Amino acid sequence: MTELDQLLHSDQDWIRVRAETALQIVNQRQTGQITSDEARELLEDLVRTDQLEAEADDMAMKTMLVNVVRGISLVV
Amino acid sequence: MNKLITIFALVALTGCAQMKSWVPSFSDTNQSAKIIDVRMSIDQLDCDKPHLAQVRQIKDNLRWFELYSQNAGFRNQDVLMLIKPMQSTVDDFYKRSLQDAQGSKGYCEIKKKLMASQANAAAEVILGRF
Repeated sequence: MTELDQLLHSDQDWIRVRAETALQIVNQRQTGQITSDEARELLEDLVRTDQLEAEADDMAMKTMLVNVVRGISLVV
Repeated sequence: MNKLITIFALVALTGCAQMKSWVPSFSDTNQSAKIIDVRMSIDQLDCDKPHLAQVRQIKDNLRWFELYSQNAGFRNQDVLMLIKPMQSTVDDFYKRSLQDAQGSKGYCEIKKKLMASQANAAAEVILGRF
């Protein structure tokens, strides 16, 4: 939990949001609001969210690269 | 001369392969509209009501997006890869909603938050394409 506490105080918003969601899952499991099976699935979804955002970042960089090449081609 | 043609072909083919890997899919009005439909169906998800019909709506919107993108040209592999994690997230929700006892309200609320975050990230990049 110490590592989770560190993440909760991260300077980066996306890390803090992920940590808050992980904490919410842990808290809801501890208070019996969700089952252990549901908690496992939700934690897996957190990993999937990171995978999706990595893909999105990659696409955004490629789009930026195409825009730069297009801009240069107009100048040259 | 033959050597020159071979070298030119090699350069051209390797160049094309490289190009294919870094050129993203282009902007597509139908994909843009459908990803907002996905966001809308997630936004309207009410965890106090039965989940099944609502999750099916999200699942169907994503399936439409997938089928359309498969036929929209080879360059659309990037958007297909992009929505895959979201499809897994929604599929698990759908399977749980099919059971006699659907997922708990707490589960539904966190699921909604995660799906909204995924759909938002996907929509930003899909609508931001050149």
